Amino acid sequence: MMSKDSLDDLFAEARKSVPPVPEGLAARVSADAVALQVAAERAAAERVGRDGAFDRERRRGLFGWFRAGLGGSAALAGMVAATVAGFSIGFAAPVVPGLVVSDLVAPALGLGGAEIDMMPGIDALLQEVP
Amino acid sequence: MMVPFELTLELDPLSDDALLVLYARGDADAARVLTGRHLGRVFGFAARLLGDRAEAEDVAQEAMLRMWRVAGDWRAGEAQFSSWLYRVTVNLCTDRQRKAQRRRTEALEEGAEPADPAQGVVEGLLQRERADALQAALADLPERQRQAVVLRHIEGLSNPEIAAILEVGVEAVESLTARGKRALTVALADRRSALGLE
Repeated sequence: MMSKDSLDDLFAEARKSVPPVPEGLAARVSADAVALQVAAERAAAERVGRDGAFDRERRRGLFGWFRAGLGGSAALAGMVAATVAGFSIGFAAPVVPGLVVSDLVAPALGLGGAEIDMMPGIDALLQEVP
Repeated sequence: MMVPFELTLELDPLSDDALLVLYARGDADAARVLTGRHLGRVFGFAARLLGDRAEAEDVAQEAMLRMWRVAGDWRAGEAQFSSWLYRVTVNLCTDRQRKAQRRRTEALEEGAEPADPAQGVVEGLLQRERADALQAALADLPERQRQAVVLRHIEGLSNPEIAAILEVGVEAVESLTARGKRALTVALADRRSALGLE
């Protein structure tokens, strides 16, 4: 049987004989560390950029929220233009004095000055056939 | 790993916890100091547990990668960093061994250096043989016994520290190390003369 002291001697030698780190391992570990740092910095920058844009809009008050919600200035401008056009058509219909539809259509159909009923009723359909 | 002298002077006194905070804030020098401080120990420990330098290299790189990943969330004072790193290494080694169908017992001596370069060639060879024999005997131990024996008698940790790393009670650690040492004694008994241990 081997003595306890002999085994302890082996352990002591093993403690002193540390396997050296293989060539290239430290470089790979450092590369991992740097890669993770770069990825973390990039993610943080993107987060800050996103938060910054949101904060800028928020600082501009309710209008800023509204504009951000619509999708920015261009979207807001388009929406305003469409609204203005709608209102102007509704309140001031583009009527040219003296020009009615029949004036344009009747000559083309060879009807002379006859009136064209653009909204015919359904009276004819309701009549009973004798 | 080589770390510039000025850098060593500046960052060496800092604790692991402080270096992890610096690393998480983007300090590349902190990463270099942490690597220099822990990589050799992690690799050596994994090599003892696995008996395979290539496997140990992979485990060491993975353990260090986990260290970088946890740096931002590391809470100083909640756990001892070195114990955490040992636990990660033990778990990685256990995973490797369980995935492998058979244990490889590649000798470590290829890269192991004699403690005293001035000693004679014969003594150096004998020392290599002893290290080889110990590694082979360690490889034959059951997994938990090997982990406990290496942590106690080669890494020099206390039983409570080992209990925290292996996530068992202190009494279980005492039992594991005692049984491991008995098994080693028996395994090496036949070679004690050849190894110059008498």
